[in-house]
Amino acid sequence: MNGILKATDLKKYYGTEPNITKALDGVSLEVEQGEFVSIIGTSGSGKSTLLNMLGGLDVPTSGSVVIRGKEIGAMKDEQLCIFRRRNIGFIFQDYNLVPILNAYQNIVLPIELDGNQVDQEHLDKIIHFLHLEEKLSNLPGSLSGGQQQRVAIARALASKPAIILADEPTGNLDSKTSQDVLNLLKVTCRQFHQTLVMITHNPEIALLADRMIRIEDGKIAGSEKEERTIGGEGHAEQ
Amino acid sequence: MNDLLFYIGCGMILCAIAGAILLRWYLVTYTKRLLYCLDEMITGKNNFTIGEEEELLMAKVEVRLRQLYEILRQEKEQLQKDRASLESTISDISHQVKTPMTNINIYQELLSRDDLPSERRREFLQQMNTQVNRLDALMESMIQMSRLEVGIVQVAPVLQNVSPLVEEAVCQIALKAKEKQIQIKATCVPDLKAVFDKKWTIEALGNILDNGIKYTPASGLMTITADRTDFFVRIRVADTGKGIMEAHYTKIFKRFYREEDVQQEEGIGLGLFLAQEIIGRQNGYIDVKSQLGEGSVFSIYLPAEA
Amino acid sequence: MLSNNNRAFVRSLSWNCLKTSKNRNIIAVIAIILTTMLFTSLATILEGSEQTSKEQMIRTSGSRFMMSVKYISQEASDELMQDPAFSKVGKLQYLGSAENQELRKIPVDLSWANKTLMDGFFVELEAGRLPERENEVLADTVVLEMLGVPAKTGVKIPLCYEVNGEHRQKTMKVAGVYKGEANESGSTIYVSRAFFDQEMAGFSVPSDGTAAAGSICLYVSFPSEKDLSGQRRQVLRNAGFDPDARLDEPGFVIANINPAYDDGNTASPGLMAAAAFMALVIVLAGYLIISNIFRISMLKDLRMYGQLKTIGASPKQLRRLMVKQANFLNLIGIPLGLVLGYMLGKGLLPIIMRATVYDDVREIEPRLLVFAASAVFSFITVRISCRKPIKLMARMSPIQALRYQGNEAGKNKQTKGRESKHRIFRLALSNFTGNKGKSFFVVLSLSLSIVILNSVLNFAGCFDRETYVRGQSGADFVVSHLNFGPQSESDQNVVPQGFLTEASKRRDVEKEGAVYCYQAPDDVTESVMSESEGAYDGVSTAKLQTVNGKPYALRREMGKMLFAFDQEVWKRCKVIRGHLDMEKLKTGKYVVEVSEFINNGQDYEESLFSLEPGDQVEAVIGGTKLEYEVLANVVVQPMILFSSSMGEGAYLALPSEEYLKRFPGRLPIHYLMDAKGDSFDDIDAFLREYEGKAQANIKYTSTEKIVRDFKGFKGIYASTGMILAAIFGIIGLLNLLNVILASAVARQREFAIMQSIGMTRKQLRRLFIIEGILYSAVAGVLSLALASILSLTVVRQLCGIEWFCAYHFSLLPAVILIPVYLGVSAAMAFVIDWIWNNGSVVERLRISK
Repeated sequence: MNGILKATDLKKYYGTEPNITKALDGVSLEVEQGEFVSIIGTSGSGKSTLLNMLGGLDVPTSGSVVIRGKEIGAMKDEQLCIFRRRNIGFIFQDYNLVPILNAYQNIVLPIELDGNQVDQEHLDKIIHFLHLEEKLSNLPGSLSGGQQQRVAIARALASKPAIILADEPTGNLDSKTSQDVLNLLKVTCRQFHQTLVMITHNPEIALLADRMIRIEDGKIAGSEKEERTIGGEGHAEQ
Repeated sequence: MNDLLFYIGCGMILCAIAGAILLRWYLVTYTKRLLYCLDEMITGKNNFTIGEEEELLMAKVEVRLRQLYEILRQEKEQLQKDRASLESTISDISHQVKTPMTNINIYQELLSRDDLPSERRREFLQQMNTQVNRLDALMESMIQMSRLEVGIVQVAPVLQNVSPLVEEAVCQIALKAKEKQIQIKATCVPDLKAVFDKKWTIEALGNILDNGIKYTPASGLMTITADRTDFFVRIRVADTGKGIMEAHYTKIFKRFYREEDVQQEEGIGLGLFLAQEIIGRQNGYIDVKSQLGEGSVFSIYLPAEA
Repeated sequence: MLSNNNRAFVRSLSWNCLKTSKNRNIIAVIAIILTTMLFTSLATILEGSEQTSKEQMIRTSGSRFMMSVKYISQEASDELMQDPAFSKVGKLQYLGSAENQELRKIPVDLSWANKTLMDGFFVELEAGRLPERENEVLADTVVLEMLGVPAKTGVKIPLCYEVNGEHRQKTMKVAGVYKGEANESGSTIYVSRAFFDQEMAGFSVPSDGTAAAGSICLYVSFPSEKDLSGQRRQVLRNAGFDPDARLDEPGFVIANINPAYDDGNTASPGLMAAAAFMALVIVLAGYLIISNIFRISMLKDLRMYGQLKTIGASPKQLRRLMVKQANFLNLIGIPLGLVLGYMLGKGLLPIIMRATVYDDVREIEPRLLVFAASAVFSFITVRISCRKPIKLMARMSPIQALRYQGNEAGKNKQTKGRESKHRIFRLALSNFTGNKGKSFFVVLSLSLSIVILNSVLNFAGCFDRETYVRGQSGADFVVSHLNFGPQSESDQNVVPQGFLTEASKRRDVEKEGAVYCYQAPDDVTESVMSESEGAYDGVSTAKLQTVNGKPYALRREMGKMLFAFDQEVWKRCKVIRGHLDMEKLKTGKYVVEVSEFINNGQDYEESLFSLEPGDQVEAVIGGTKLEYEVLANVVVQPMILFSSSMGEGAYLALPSEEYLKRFPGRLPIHYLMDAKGDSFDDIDAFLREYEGKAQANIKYTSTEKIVRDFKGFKGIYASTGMILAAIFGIIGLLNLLNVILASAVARQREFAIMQSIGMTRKQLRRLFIIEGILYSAVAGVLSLALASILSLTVVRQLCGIEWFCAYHFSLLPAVILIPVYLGVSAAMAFVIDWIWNNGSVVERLRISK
């Protein structure tokens, strides 16, 4: 239908023959607008590499990534960065918070990078929901892993990007909080019709998605469309 | 001196003219691109190319426009889906209504026979009563659902205490529990507040309790606990029923789904579906954990704060 | 198109970056300050020395005006004074000359002048005011002293003077006193207009271009010093003169440009080249240090830039981010550097100028150009230094940048060594060789200072005192009359009899000798007045009539100056041709042709000799026709003929006995004395005391003075070398500090890990110190090699050029400096380790990672 994100035959090789490492070996996938897709795989299966390719953070050896009809590999670095900040929100496994900025500044960074006004109400809601009110003026260095992760999530949500790419977004949270956070992510994504692609190694968490893609040794091992409806997503029948 | 002033003046006028022309050119380009965007949207195209990777004000406008357009389109699609879903639900219910109606008809026909022994008559009447009850439950669910689906009644969540919610829901099912001699324990963290619509949430909690009582054998135990997680208020309903297979976790929330081995129990398979629907509309969710033979735990998560 | 409005944010972000990297900022600002300072101070010194030398020349010329127009008519003067082409016009009208007996020594004019002229002629009032009334005068302190009156206003002086040949006398009142020069060759008594007009009664201003009472001289300046000859032509033509006319041609006017402003007097190409080289070296050094610091710090931040990029900061924004920071650091560093550099330059200028001929240092004005150039230079350097990380970042994908930890990560950590010390050393070595580019920079900047110091000190060490002294002096002491100079024409300027009597009494003088020079006043008037060509005609009083019977007309000079030497002086002559037979000479039948050494005693000009031994010459000396045979051609130190070499020539010399026979009672122009044993200091004290006496009228040059000059001269080179070496040393050490610090920062995790797996604190410290020393050691080896090469090539070459150098190879300065560097770098490493790797700090940093 509306393939907002489309990857065709993505390959990423490191090294040269014979010591070649195939991080990704011909992955093709398509994500529809508003969809919540989880990519599951063991560590070293190439899932992080895939996510980085999808977001244009890394350059594939071959293959193409098309977002909304635009081939991002064909963009110049400058264009790609601007494109990314307007369309994609990242949640990194190791947060990637800018160490010199405090939590609040980190959260609004993507908005301010584009010179936009902060939607204070929306932001307050996110901050509130993620229980970050008291940590806003802290530098990332003084936050715990879980807190940093929540800041990273808030940052991805704050600018309401059309696509959120999340790499183990709950890796540093306990399982209860993980569920909460993911449900929050889901709820917010639905509210703003955002597309969410999430990487995890945890099947329980992966199950929360509309669709689960299993990746093994740089290849897609299977894709299953879960007939799950949590909340009023009444379209999953038939 | 005068000459100099004259030339400076001329220069400034020329600059101003050039500036005005440039500005106009900017505005024309700006408008053109805006119009292109709007045209594409009006035509209803899915993917149209915009200059979203440019460091320009226009690009930002375009990105926003498209975002809005996409949201609106998705909502439209959602609406269509909802409508279709409602239609199918109504057809489902109509279908479900058919059986008790046919049964009632049959019983009525049988009852109208004069030669029926009074013992049989009583039996039929009882059967008919069951069917009527079933019909009643169906109608009740249908009304609930149609109100919900059509959106005549909006859920209006407000921040309020959770304990009255638990109390009232328990009161509603107290009679049924007593009949089955099921003990109900309810604990609620004092001053626990959540954001919910009381009337509808009682309905949802009631459905879950109802469900629990239904599948809990006599002299069982139901425990209701309300507490807080990081971001949500959680109301857990634990029963000592026979439990649910993991594979069925998602299925039980579907319309008209009934576990195969509980077909004899009364019910139409709409209770959990509705509960899920109600909670979902309040930005909460329900999940279920179960151990076969030992019981199930249904958890309602309500947003703790707005 | 209307571009995005997201610039303000980058500004605030860069502010954040700045706030969080204080240490980096401090080091960077210091680097910027240092570079700007080096540049500014160098420029200030150059500028100041040029200004000073120019000012000195102007002072020597006695006039600040750029051009003089002399002996013009009243009308021409009035017209010229209205010419808008001039920025200043000074007017002087000559009245006559003073004839007081007391003023016989120097010519003293009586003139009227306007205020502008007096200002331009350095007439600085010490007391009183300009003459206004008819009987008032303005005179200088020297004139008043000669007249024997106190230098005070209100003093009455009896003035004898001459106006157009009329001798007059009048008592005048001193209205003002101005400062006179110590050895002035002439002076002016300024009179009031009223007096001038009164005395001029009956005479009119000469309009025929002659110098007479009432002659008008204009001294003028233009707004610009450029193309003075062009400007001269222009104004003269406008005033109706012919700028190219010769004497006696119509339209001729005496209009000369002040030689101090001559275009030829600008800095010599050699000096310019040296300055350019210095500037280049400093530019390079500054670039090295700034770029190094910026590169290290920017690379350190690369990870953060990668993070920003993943979030959507575009390369342009990141570039702006870096440039903003750099600009801010510039904003702090450059002004400070300018001020400090200017102050340093100003402070150093007198020290440097003291060593030159110009002892009077002028206050230097801050020059906008100097500041602007320094500022621009620093600015550009910083910008260039920013470019590299920017480029690097543009090349990397965000993920690469995220993983970037700096290229410090040592690769061969698993090096095995039996002994623990050995292993630590290997670790240090691997880090050193691990990032060759950076190590090379540091090593190079360290060795640069060693090499420079060694080369300059080696060069200065090659200055040979003996050669220098021999080249500069004829004897231990050479005594002359106070006013003796190459152009002194008066036979007053001889060594006074009083001194000769005193000196001959001394027992501690081993050798002594007199030099005579015949100067006949009668001949002077005759020759000088009639022949204006040839500056020496006035003193070429031995007119050669014939050589070997043929008329002598080989040279433009009509004759030859006549010297006479004592026996002791003859011994100091170097015979070129012939044989200097003292017995023959004593007969009085022989004459010697004598010329002077050129190039400080190294050489002589063969072609100057016009006579050959054996030639028979017939000369008119003092009106008497005499015949001699040329005995030899010899050369002597210029000191013995004149004080300095003023244009070479060859002269006739007689033995003093013969000379005194012809001109009895004449006094010598020089008196040479050599000290006996260790009595040098006694004689020196005696001479100094005698020189200080009021009526002594002598001056002397001693070898000690020359030695002192030599030492000062050598000192300049040595101190310049040391200053340069210090500058580069500081730069080098800063670079080293920078590198050690950077590696400490970059590898703190690595160290923490190593410590956690059992590396002791002691071992870590040793690793640090070995690393620090390694840089210095490699720099030392490199600099020894470079210094040797430079010594054998450049220094040797330079020694060949300078006449007083005797080349010898030396590495001593380097050998002394290298241990200093080793020590300093070890200490630096120790301190960094102490500050940075202290337990708690490591803990904290480990957490923050």
